[in-house]
Amino acid sequence: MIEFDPRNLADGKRAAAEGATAVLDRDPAAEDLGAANSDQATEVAMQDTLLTPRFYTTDFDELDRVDVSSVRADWDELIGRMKADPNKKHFRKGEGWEAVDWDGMEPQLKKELIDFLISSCTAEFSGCVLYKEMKRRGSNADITELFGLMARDEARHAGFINDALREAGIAVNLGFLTQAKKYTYFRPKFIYYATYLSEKIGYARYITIYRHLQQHPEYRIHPIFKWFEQWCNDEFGHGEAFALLMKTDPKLTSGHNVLWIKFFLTAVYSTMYVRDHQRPAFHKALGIDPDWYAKEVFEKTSAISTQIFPITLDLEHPRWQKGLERLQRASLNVSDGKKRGGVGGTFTRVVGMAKAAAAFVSIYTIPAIRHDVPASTRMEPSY
Amino acid sequence: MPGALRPTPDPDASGLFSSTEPLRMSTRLDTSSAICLPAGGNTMGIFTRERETAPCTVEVSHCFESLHAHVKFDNGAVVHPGDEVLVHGTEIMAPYGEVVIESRTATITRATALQRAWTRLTGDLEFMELCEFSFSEEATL
Repeated sequence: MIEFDPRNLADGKRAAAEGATAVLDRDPAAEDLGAANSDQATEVAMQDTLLTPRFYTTDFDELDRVDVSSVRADWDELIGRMKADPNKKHFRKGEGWEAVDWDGMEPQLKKELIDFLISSCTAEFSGCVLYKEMKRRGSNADITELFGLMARDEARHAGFINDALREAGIAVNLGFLTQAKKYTYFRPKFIYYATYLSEKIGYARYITIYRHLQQHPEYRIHPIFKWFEQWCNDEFGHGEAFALLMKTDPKLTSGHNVLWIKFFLTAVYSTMYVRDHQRPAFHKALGIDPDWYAKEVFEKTSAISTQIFPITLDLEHPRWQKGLERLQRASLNVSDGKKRGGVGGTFTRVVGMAKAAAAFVSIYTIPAIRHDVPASTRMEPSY
Repeated sequence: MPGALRPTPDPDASGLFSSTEPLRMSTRLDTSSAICLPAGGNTMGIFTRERETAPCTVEVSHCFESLHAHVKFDNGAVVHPGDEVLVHGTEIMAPYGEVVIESRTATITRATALQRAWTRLTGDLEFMELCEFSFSEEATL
């Protein structure tokens, strides 16, 4: 066994990035991981990465008071579709799942691709934890049914990504339960805004990559991207559920809450921009320019969000792109400063944080574009 | 990416409440202060952290079809903002392709009234944790 502290996620990533050989656990489930690898399997040497999901509470009484009667028809249709579970058989590795040459992969790309897989797995897993808690603590039948179905989907996605990680020689360690876990708190409306946007932007991100790779299959660096369409349709459906939840209470999308919506839109879009630009090898290998990608994803997400949000951000405004670039440069200052440490490093960091705040304010204050929200929230994935 | 927490030393782990004993719940007060307020059926200190031990069922699924890990308190205990939960004993590891269900004991370290109020007030500040961005926040890997 490769020895390192499984509680240290950074260790796990570093070990993976240093190109350690992928060999198999000696277990019967190993057969599906490709003939080439099974020939090497004499030693158990899976690296471990400890999953560290987050744990949430919320105002469960407020959730219980949600009354979906105003959107009953759409709600029942959505739940019916989720129960029918059209994707149950789709997350299977069929003949389309080609072997990945992890050992031969360019090291920086390998690091970034593994970061993508681990972060996505953690996010799906945390989503499952959140939805399961909401299901367990609720007594409103509509709410508990919805979150039970969403937890099922998230766990399924996590399992699928986990399998891809295993092929890269990384085993997810689920031992976190025997470590102390602190429960944080989010008020329901923040969960609605943040999760709605995450699901919808997730849909936009995955479908953009999927369609791009359909046209340029030579850039498909990993077979998992072929499953992006089913995956993102699940995300789309979850977003629909949150849109309906928000529809049940018009206060959530009016009055001063519009400022919150603007805040979440700005924070989510700008964070996506910064994070994507921190992974240049990943995007280059996919043949995707991160600025083009950001524009595509923001436009799709904005168009979708008009189903429930009364505003969209003005992506054509001259301050928008400039502000994103300023924010990205400032975030580089912050990470440089953190790495350097000491007095100089701290100074660089603090200046970077101030610049980032100023850049954020400059884009947050761009006048938003208002529109009328349709009476019926429902949308179909159409990209 | 939030780091994993070190396990807190748990005096109960080796002694009174091992998982082989009949499962039971007990409540202890820290001895440092006697100030308590009843709150929703639990006694909750303003300045003290109360610890409870609760029997629980842990389910860890390490399958292709579903990757999940859940703790359910068999005595109906609920977790409030700021509380900490620690499942006793060795790591629960499900080999790939398996679902492991175990009866264990967990210590719930209750937040004080102040901590709970603080968590409720400030938890939202970490809202970015609710958002998924495909990549970790580290600038360089």
